[in-house]
Amino acid sequence: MSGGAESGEEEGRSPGSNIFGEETASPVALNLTALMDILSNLLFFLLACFGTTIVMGINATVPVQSSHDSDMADTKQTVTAHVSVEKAGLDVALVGSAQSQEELDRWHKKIPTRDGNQDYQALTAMLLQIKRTYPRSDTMILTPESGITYESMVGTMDAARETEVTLSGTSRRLSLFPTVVVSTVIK
Amino acid sequence: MASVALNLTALMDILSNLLFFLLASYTSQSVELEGQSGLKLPSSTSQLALTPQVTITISEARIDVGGVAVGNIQRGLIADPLDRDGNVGPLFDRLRNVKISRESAGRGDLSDASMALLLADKSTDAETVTTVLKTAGRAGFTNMRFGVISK
Repeated sequence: MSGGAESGEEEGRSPGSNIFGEETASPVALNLTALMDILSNLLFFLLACFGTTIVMGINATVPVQSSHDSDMADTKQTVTAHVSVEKAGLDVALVGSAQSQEELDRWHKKIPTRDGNQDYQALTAMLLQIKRTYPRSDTMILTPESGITYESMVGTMDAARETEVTLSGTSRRLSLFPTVVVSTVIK
Repeated sequence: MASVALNLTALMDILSNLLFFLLASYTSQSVELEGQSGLKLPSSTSQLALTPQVTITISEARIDVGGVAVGNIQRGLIADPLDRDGNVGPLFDRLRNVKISRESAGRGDLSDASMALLLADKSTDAETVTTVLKTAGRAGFTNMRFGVISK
């Protein structure tokens, strides 16, 4: 019934006018093709750049001569890991002033290369053991031998920074030795 | 044949959002890697973001500080003779100048006043890296941040 009433009203209006008899604006069709082209090009360009320019940082320090107290680890729970990166492998030793030399020497270990590459997994596993024994430790002295590449230095710092551990069924990142001092072999 | 009018509004919305996000990410990269053709940074799991600093670059052919050449590299090693203290002379002078100009501008006490960014090719010999680090340390830049490509 209402439909019949509406059709009755529509019959009294001219086509292209609203219920008040005003002329309606004709719909405008925008041609967005050119804009879409530009946006798509920009998008692909930025997507290509996005994957290649993510540059991150690793903090390190150089040894400084100082008249202040030594920074050497001086509590029972703290040691400094000394990692030498050599062509034959990694040499890990501990330095600390609150432990006996015998105790520190027990940790001295050489990790040979595996298939021509440094065994970073073994380094992480060993540093995790050290961290569990001396939980307040966080400093590693990195001594690369001549002939070692910068990539190997970065790989060693990565292996020593943190690892994933599972505690009570949940895995989380455990910081190992994130403070790095880059030293050099004295000839 | 009747033309079909596609409603592109939703697609435009998505594209615009993506575009702004990527533009924001692109411009937030503060490190200029332009002009460093041939420089291949090592990859790392580090998630530490970079901030604008004095940038020392070791490429396959030379050492730069802020784009100014201060030394030459041959087969990953420093080709120029070192000074009597074991420093790369031009690198030391350039970094000292930067340090002095920072201090005279009242920026010597800032937390990152002694920090520099090192961008080195992944094939660079460790001896070159340590020599550059020692030179930088003697010039007053004792804290170094190594630039790496995120894995």
